[in-house]
Amino acid sequence: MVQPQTKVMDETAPPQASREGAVLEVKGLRTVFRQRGVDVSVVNDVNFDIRAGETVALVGESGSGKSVSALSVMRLVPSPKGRIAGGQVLLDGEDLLRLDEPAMRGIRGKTIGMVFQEPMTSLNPIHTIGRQLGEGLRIHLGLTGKAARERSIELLDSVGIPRPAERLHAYPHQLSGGMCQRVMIAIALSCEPRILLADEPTTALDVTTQAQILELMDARARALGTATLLITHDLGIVARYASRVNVMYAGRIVEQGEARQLYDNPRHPYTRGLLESVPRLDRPRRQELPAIEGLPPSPGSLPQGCPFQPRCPFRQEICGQPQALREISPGRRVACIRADELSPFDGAA
Amino acid sequence: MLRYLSVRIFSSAIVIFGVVSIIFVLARLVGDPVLLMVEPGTTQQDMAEMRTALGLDRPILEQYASFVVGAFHGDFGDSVRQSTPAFDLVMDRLPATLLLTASALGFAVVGALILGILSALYRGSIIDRLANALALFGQSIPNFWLAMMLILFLSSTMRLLPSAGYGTVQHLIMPTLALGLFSLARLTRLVRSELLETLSQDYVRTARAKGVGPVAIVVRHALGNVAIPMITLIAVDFGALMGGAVVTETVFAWPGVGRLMIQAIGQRDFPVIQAGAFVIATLVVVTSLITDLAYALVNPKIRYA
Repeated sequence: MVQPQTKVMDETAPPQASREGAVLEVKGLRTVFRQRGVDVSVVNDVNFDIRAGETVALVGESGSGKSVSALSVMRLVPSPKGRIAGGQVLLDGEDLLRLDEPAMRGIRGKTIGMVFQEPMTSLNPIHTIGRQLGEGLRIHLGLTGKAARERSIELLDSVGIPRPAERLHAYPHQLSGGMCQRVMIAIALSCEPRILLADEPTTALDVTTQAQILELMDARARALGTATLLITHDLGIVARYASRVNVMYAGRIVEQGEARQLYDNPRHPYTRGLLESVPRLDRPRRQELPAIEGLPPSPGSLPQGCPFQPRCPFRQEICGQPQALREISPGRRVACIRADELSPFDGAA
Repeated sequence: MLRYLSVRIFSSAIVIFGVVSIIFVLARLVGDPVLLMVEPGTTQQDMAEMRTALGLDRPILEQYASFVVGAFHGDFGDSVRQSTPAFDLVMDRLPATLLLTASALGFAVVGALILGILSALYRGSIIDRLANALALFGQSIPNFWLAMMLILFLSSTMRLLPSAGYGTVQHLIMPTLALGLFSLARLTRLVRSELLETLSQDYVRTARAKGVGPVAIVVRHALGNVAIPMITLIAVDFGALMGGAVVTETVFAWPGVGRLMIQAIGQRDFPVIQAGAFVIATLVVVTSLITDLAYALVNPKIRYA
């Protein structure tokens, strides 16, 4: 369906990093927001990595700190309220948090591309598609005039936009939400970045459009060898696209591992609750969908110890003590003291 | 587009007609011009003859009818005092008024952009606070008082600038400040708040995620969106500036339409008042028409079918 028109990485010789090394490694990331004069941690000691070309998911409810984690990687946390208070963001081993602003601008849009949740408001209403697409090409690749135009047409074509040459002159309000998100993907991938951060890219779209956009993003990222961080609250789409999953709760990663393992055998009660609340076709139709009781805590008033403890059906007294993310098998980490005691899961989506 | 334009021009004509009609009535409420023109001791007979000569003895509806007919032909009658056509008197003074309002508006727009952008970018800083204080100050002081304080300070005490008159750049400085400060203050607040609003929009985040630098973010991505509400306010301010010009011109003895109007009102020179009102109303209406057309240039969502 989609023709990769752009230069595709040589598939017979994958880049060095894909063997084991991570392209992006986030270590001990802490991002705080100032609320009524107090710094509140929205992202707290978050660790995850992405290997070249793979898709990693960051899953959690609204307000769990997923988007802020991605914005922290880009160093686009809204200031002056928010700021990164600690940790490292290593891109090929180089700490992005130590770069000066001009050097960081050279990374944004070139090495790391980003797609946002609301395609309709993420494009500037007063500029044409062509102008917004051409901007990154000019900044990072020095393309102007005819060269930029031709490349823009190629890019729009590659994201499945019909009559791309005409669309260059269109304004965002003349396109549908799905089309706008295609344009956003074209912009994010225009400089063939090594990493794509996709922050809930389909949440604002129609269900029918969602699948198309995800397929497109996946296909384009594969064609370019771009690694993807897929941020979502929708576990259904994670299973299809991500090889590894990080589950976030109240600003912390509570479980991480290979997608298949995590789905088959969730070890954190929160992950388990999330999986149980995904509607499934093999359950009796009239059965009520299980839900996690209560509400996630606000970042300003986290409970003592495990943040999930007040809602957890497996809670014990010991849960009032801090829970660290610990490795229970290679590549599999969970932040629950009772992880080993949980009964086997009866299968997931 | 053509249809839109013709509707707009038609409605503009109605507005101008209405304004001029109201002025026609209001002018006649100030009194009898003949009483101001005659020497003491003139007989009733002589005064009646003068009224007949000026056409003031006719019924008011008849006067109005001949005024409307004349106005349609660009003839507003001769000045009661000087026997030249009133319209020519107004047009002679128009360049001075246009120079003053354009200068004041330019001062306001450029100043507001600089102050507004700086205070939005450095929110809470000393620049922001100073700009805020200036905005409050500019909106609260009456321009005639400011004009007199400027004369007192810059002319009488410091002897830097001429206190009145017309002709050189030095003559233009104080009237521009006095007339433009109010608009500058209002526009500064608008630019600041709109820019802050725009900078928090998703599309600005997208631009930053593309690696766009801070200057281009403001100039290319934000200001275009700020321009839309700004144009509206500028159009409104233009009318206010025209009104303010009447006072400012009088204080600085600036030979513009405003001062001519004040003199004409003092002398009950009806044709000049009417011609002046017509010209000012036309300018304001045409400006608002141009503004509406300018929207289409700045905002791609607006297209006049």
